Amino acid sequence: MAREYDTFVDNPDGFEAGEIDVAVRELTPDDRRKKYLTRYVRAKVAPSEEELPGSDILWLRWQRGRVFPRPWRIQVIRELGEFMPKKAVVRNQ
Amino acid sequence: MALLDNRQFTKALKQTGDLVEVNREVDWDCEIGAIVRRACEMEGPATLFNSIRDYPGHRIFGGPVSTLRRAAVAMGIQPTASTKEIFDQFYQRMQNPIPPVLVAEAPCQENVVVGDAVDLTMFPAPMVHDGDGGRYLCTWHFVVTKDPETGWVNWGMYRVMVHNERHMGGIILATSDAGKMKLKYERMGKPMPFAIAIGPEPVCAISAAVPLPANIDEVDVAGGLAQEPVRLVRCKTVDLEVPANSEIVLEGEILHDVEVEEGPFGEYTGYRSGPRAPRAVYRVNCITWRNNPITVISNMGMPVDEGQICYGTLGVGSGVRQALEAAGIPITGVFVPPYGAGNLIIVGTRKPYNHIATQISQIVFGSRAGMPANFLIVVDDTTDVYNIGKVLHALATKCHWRDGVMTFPAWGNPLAPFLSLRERATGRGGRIVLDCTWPVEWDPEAEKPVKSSFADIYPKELQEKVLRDWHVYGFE
Ligand SMILES: Cc1cc2nc3c(=O)[nH]c(=O)nc-3n(C[C@H](O)[C@H](O)[C@H](O)COP(=O)(O)O)c2cc1C
Ligand SMILES: [Mn+2]
Repeated sequence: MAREYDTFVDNPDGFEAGEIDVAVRELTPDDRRKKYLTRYVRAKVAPSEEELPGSDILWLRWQRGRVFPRPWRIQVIRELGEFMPKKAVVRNQ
Repeated sequence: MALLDNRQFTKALKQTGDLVEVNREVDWDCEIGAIVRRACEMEGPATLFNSIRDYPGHRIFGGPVSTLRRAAVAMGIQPTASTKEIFDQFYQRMQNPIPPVLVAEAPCQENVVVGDAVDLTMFPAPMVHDGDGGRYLCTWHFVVTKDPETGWVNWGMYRVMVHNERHMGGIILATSDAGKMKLKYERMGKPMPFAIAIGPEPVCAISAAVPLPANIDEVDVAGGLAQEPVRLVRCKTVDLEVPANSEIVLEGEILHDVEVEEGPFGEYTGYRSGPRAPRAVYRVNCITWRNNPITVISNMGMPVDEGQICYGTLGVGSGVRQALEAAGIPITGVFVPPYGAGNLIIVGTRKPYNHIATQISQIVFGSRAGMPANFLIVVDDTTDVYNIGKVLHALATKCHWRDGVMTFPAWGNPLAPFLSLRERATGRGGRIVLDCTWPVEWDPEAEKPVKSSFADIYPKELQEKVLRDWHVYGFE
């Protein structure tokens, strides 16, 4: 069975197929206590399984949490680690 | 009175009718959050969940201080006391701090794991709201950090989310005391050691949510609130101390060269309005906990919850009152109503000169506690600030459409729901002042409207007769 992940994006409607670096949350781990843990990965993403055979499910969420009704597909190519390098921008948050 | 720890607090709440125990198994994944949220919106009781899916032996305590009644119980005050009485007691006690004592042995260290054995998923951190950025282990807790230059120790309640087994992500605003310390560690190129006490004595959590002036020790204020010193124990792996009876203690360091995505999360304004964003990384090197630990959660969102009660009403309210008193303003009351979500401040004042509302606004919004708020309503000494109906009436009848309304640009609170995303990201916001006082020069007889109320419009002798004979007329 396909595993399920989700990720938060600015605009699910404008999400584009291709190869991306993305933070994914585990939604269907073997040990349920690990649900929602996050990894950074390089992955291929596509809007349908036909375009990415054997892939897993990727739910998209807006940055403020609402889930986009139509799931995408994802195929993890490699792990990028636990964190993101810090970007040098000033943020009011 | 005795200082209550988390467990004694749940028992006291049960006795006052402010706690429901749930024995049926419930799910940490949103179900507990939904129950606590509904209870908050009903201004209902706190909840103790005795059986948690996937987590045998664990319990969760939800909504510890989401009403003023429960804040009263935490301080050993009669829960039936009025809002004014509870707030006045809180205010008086917080200004009479009591330093802590150090103990050698502590329940919070009955169990210890360090290093690679650390696994944050061993505790039932709840998914508080559907669509949150992750599981929040830290929502009724505080983060302990030490200033690397002065050695001063701060306690602040800043939410923290589980990222993976060893790491968490959290908001540490530059305006917070920990945020200022973090900048110093960053400049020194050193990670910032931290300890987090989850489910501490409730007065400690309340104190950590109050925006106290820098260099005031939250632990002393907590002692003042309980009128008894807090007992602290040294941490196992960092040079910091935590309350001995905390349920769970996390020890570690905050890293500077990396970030994790954190949020979104329901906020004290009543919305999930701050987007997911890269935020500070907490690396956990050691966890200690009490036997049969009770994870404690606050569910922030629409009033009323800990965000509005502990941060807003008690925290912002007391800080603003201190600032106005220090400036010598002849105030007659300060109230941050729970439904104002920490964002709306009501000040009552005598009015010796015009534009005292302007002066009050400069002090309120210039103070540490008042800076993040957006609305200020100024009423005169004839309006009871705790009576929202009367405040609304003053606003509707005494606020001049032009001269009574003042707005000016100011720092934009990133969580202000009415600001655009761009305004929030760049910190561009503003403040609104509503002056509901009559101009000083209005002649009391010729111009100032006569209040058509029982106490103002009848001769004293008649008032006394009516009061004396009230039941004779047939009233209860
Ligand atoms: C339940 C709860 C959660 C809070 N979460 C945060 C948070 O994530 N970030 C923050 O800056 N303040 C948060 N606050 C408000 C702070 O606790 C408050 O501003 C406090 O003064 C911070 O401590 P400090 O004054 O020592 O910096 C929260 C308050 C409550 C009651
Ligand atoms: Mn502080």
